[in-house]
Amino acid sequence: MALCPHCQNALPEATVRYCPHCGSDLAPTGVVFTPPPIPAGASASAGGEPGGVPWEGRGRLGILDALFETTREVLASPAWFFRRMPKNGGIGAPLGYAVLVGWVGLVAASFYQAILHSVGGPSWPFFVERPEWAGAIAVIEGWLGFVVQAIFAPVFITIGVFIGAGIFHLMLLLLGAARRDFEATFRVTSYAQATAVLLLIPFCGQLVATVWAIVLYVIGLAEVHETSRGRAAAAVLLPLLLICCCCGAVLAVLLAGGLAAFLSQLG
Amino acid sequence: MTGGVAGMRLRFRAAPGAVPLGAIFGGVGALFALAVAGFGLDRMPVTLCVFRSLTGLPCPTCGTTRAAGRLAALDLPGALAVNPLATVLALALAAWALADALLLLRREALALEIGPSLGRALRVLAVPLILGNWLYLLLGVR
Repeated sequence: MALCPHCQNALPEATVRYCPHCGSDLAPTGVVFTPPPIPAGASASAGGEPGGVPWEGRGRLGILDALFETTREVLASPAWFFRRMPKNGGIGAPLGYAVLVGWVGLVAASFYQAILHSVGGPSWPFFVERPEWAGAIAVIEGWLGFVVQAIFAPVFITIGVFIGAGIFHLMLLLLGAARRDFEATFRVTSYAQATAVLLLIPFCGQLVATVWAIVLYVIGLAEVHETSRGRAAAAVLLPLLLICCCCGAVLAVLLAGGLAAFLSQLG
Repeated sequence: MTGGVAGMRLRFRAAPGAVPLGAIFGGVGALFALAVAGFGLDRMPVTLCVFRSLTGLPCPTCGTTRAAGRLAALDLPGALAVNPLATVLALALAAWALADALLLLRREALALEIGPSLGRALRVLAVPLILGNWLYLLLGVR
């Protein structure tokens, strides 16, 4: 009987692509494991485990090394990373990674927002005639908002990852492209939070991180659910289209208002 | 087996050690409803929907925030009036969350098994449901 080279559990049949116990990618025969080609610049990480994720081997690698290596692999070689990522094994580790990386990015973004607010004033001009709303927005955008976001960011990120994964998985189900359970989708959504480090780039980081996150979702969901990138893109972009309908105006006004206020201070 | 009775099966079971997704999503939904009610997000002075701003017509999800606010105030008819599909989905989520919360005491979570034929039928049914709900919103311009 063939055994999984990662978890040593018995494989049910000789043609499985992924181990049903640990989710590791197996060779097409399912009997002899052949590691996928490692792209240039990426190391055989996770403490040398070809089917692992560095973050999930942080006990051996150390938290900082595992965090750095995982982020680098997700951003630089996403297809390779998601192909060999275990498709199950718990949501705790991926969620921990998402919270940690996301917290850094969110704190940076709210810090820049507070600076912009200090220099340029509020960026929501349509609330000027509603002083109670204008006051609340000023608090959120200011230094108090920065402190509150820094404290509560882990809660916001946790909720955001669950909602994002839930929406993506629902769309995959509706499109008939969900070959794996919710946990696989959740792991892709969590590790795609690596793009939060791009929020460290002032002002344009948000835009770059958003675009690259969409790319990572599409690649990750296609690899994990073994579906086409077209279907994965539909699962990601259709809900984004709806969300854009509802939040696009806010983002546009926020960006345009902030920029206008900043330029008026300069001029 | 992909057809016949097995293909149309729908089975609920208590899965030991599974992630209680119903409880998690139910908690998130409850937090959202409380935030809407507490901060008056359903009474904002501007519409945040680009589609509505551009066309004057509601998008398929318009009314979800108001429905959450009505549900938080236990006004079920009011919630159904502003977005029926969102309200029905919220009630289904509440039932799932409640079942998960009870099973959580036994360290189990509710798992739903849907046969492939039933899955396809549900996917096909989702389209007219979404379109019908949108048509209702368009006719009422809510």
